[in-house]
Amino acid sequence: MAMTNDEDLQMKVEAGQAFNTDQADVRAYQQVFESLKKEPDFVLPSAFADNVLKRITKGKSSLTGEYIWLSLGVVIMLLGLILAFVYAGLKIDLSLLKGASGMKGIFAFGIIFTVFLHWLDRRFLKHTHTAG
Amino acid sequence: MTDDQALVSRIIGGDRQAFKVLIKQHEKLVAHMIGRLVKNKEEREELCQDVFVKVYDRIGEFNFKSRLSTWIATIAYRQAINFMRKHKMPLTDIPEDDSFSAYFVAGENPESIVSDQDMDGVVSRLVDLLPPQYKVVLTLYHLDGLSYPEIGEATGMPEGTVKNYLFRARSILKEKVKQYLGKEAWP
Repeated sequence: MAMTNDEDLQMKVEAGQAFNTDQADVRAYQQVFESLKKEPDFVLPSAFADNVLKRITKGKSSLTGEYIWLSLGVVIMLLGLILAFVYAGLKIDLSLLKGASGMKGIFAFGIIFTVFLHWLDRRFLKHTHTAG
Repeated sequence: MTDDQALVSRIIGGDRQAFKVLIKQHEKLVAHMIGRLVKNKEEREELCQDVFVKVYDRIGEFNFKSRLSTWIATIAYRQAINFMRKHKMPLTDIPEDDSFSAYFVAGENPESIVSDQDMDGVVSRLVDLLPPQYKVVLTLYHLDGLSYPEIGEATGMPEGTVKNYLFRARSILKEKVKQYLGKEAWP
């Protein structure tokens, strides 16, 4: 592919081979190349690396803590359930489910309606919230 | 074993100091990318932190097929683009023809640019006005020294597009600087 004059000039200026500074294009390109190498204003603080490491450590410990509390909660709940059955002398009665077997349509509607509500929530409400 | 491999092995082995070394080596690269694309000062540092947290979480996935800096640039670029999308910042495609260049060059310079006495500052402000794709290729090429294929890998752009954007962006800046230098010579 043929190179345009401008492309050729860019390559020459970049390589330091364009010396005709009377030419406006050469002067302008030299200025552009020089300025593009300058460090921008935004500089990270000197403690940036330490801040990242602190965040990683904090994130890991809080996640571990969350798992511990979750596991503890599940164990206590199961213990409570077992104790309740043992001390109250409760027995599981599944006759209610037999009665409900004739209402399959209502259950199916309930599941579909719940899924639909979740879809609406994800599609509109959460989207609007994050965009704002 | 290369320096990158040795460093990554130490990080995977749980060496926090090695990760600190990685951050020190690449924080400028990440700051350049985020600083160029995101103008919200309060969000910039946090976004840079997010990039390195992601790097830490995914370091085991790094396959040494590219330089570590290119891989980190990829994560930084995606982080910045996701942020821009989330905040509804414009990320439109640049037309194939020269219509954008003509429009940009013909446009009036903002007062902040016209009144700036420092030429480096003028160019930097002009870069801020360019589309994000142009800003990214200019930054990665001129400030961070990435090659065309590396920029392509980091941004997902074909190598030809990278070259084209780089050429066009510099050409636009040249025209603007020419206008500025002309005014300086003939006030």
